[in-house]
Amino acid sequence: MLTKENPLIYSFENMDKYYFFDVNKNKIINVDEEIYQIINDPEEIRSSGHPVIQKLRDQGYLSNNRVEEIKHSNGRMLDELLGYNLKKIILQVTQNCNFRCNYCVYSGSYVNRVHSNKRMDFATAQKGIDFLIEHSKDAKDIDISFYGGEPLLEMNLIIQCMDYAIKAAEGKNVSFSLTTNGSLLNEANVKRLLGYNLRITVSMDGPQEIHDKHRTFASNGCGTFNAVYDNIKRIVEKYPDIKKNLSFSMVMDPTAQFNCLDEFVASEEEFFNESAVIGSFVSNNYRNDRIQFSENFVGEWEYSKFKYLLFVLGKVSKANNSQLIRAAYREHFEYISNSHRNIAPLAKQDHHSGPCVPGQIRLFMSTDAHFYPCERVSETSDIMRIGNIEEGFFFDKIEKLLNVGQLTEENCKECYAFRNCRVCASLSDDGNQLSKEAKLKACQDVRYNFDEMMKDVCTLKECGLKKEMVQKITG
Amino acid sequence: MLNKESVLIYPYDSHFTPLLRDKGFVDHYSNIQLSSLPGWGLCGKDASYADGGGFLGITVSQEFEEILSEIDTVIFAEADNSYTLEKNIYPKILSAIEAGKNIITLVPLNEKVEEVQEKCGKKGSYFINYGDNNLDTADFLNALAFGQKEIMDCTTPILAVVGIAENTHKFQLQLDLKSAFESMGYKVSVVGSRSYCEFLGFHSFPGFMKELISESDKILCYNRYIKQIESTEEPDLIIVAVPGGFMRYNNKITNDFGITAYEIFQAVVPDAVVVSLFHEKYTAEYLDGIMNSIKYKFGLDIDALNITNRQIDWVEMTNSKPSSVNTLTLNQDFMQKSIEECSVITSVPVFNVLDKGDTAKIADLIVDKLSEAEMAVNF
Repeated sequence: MLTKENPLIYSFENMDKYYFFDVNKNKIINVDEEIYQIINDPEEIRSSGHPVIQKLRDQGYLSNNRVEEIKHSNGRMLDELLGYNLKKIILQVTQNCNFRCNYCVYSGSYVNRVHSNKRMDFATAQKGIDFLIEHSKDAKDIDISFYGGEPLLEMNLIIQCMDYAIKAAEGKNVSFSLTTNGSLLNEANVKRLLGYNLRITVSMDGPQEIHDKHRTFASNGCGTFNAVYDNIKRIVEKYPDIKKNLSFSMVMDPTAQFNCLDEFVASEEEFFNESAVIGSFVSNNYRNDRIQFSENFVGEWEYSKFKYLLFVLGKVSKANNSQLIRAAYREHFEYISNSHRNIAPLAKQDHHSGPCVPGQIRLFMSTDAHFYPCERVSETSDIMRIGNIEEGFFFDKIEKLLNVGQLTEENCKECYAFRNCRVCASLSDDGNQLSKEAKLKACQDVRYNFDEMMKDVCTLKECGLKKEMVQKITG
Repeated sequence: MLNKESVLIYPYDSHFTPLLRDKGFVDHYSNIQLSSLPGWGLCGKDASYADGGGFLGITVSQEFEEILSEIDTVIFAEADNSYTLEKNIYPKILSAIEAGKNIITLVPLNEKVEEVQEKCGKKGSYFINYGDNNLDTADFLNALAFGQKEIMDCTTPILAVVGIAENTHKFQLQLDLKSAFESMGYKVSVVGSRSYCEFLGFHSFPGFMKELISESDKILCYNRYIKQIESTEEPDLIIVAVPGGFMRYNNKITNDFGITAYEIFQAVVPDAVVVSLFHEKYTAEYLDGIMNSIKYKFGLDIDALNITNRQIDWVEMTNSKPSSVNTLTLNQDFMQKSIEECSVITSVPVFNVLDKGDTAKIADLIVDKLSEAEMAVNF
């Protein structure tokens, strides 16, 4: 068990080899069994004069340095970060949608979030755009995103907003983005969207039998696959350049066969090439029940991940490389790419990684002009309401969300995933306020994933992976 | 006394703010108006919003054509924000000429120079172009051809102003220090870090330092350039500023690998050094590292640190890996606290040039140091 007198490390075995991860150095060290036993014995590690232990200590490893106070360094400069450096505003142009997807956060499966007829008027959207420009003098690029419900139900408003923003933000690089279910991405609408610096993400959940299971029309309950697929096919044929700005978001159904999804992406080469396909799982966050993964899905998912690693190692051809899998290894590659870097030991006052400054990167403005840290949080959660267009930001709430680690202060100080944490306030919200229990659940997932990641990385190293191989794949 | 001109500065942003804080520049004009691009987030605000320093009392406008009737001259300035000559500058130059206004350009006009010259001539207005730095190596290289290729010592004290990167308020420091020393009664020559310093009555960073000549010749030419200034102007102090940064930041942001700084400090040996850094929550070890890096790369001991009110935007640097440093402006009350904290961890005095009175303190410190040397029986 870790105590304050002991080194802040995490030891693990993998493929008959012994390792420890040193939190202060953010590095994994391979040791022999003798050293492994010493570092796992709290008494011995404190007094050991073993030359290897001594050498590691001299190099800054095995330090018992810990954070003494959980406090985010950006908390000191919220005025500036939110006053001069906003990057993006996500306008919820409507809460209405012509689809009813059973995993959608507005579907009723989630705490208190449902579709409604609320829409944003242009005057409100304009204020939102002005707010972004007013608060972004230090940002070189800004992005205005349109979100729903289904944003294309408000096509005229979107065009009006883009025209206004281009004029109002002259001198700044302005980009636009929207996430759509694709049903209204018909030729007439696409024609109007061409010419704007707009990135479109279309939600498509796989082949028809899987897509239609979850994504149905609100009007008649019928599947939506054909409508979306035909739209995309038609517009890509007519306007091939649009592919560069098109990406697909695939929410993977954990009760389905993963291979079906994978094969769908692979077989529709013409459809998906040049466009990114971003896979994700149905979010458990704010959900009334928990998502259950089928055994088949897990088996196929893990096998596909394994195949991908073989590809990275150059053992199989690119054909076995699934777009859906790549995202699963982002953290691995990030670690590998940065593994040679030396970083300063933990500061006395610090916060685990994970939280961004709420509102700075993806400020979400609801139809009724309330501000939220991003589109992933619940609009009904009071703690997430961080301001509004008339009053601006509520800095006390923002500081609380930023310092979410204070909920679990003592756990964080001893946590080996401190510098590789992904937990932010959105994962610690019980639907109304920040909750220690909710956060600890998220912490468990983070530590499990980090542990797995480290073992994968060590395995890859044993199999001869070199940093250049990763760079070749990830660019 | 001649009537002072009224001017419009366009496109205004933080790049120009040091000039608005320079009494010499401000006193030169009867009225200064500022026009900016709306996306830069400055319109409708006081000009000081651009650099986060003290109130300036000039509101930035979004208008351009509407202001022309109220002014005599338009100064087309460089900017920290991105802009294009074709889209943002040239059409405004044509509007200003059409309105019969004088044109001063601090931004390179490239092939448009002659056209602007001709149009201004026809309208009877003047055009002065500071945007294209024309000082070349010919004179210095010719002189070198007949002499030995050796460094000539300067007897005038030299103060070097160095920054870790662009946007560390070096130009503000140069202007403020020049003014502070002059108000003490000293005669100061300055070789500034920008290419249009003649506009402000001092010397620009010489264009030959960017030409395709050998690195040794650049060093020798720079040495002769400083010697020439020393002999013709006979100043009490020469301020030498280094453009850009002095060290590589990462694989993309190389800051010229510190080569320019290295060459300058091979050409001249400064008697005092002020180094400008971005703001960070520094540790004693980090500052020691910076000071050692400067000591062993350039042979310089630092006399004062200026911590600028800008901090690297680490989110942007990590996520987008940009090719230049993006920074965040910090407010002055935050800076005051931070400077106090920083002063505790280093023996080198720490200042913030935007804090009223800090430049005078740096100037006093430098004068103390240099006058101490004066007491020695040196020849």
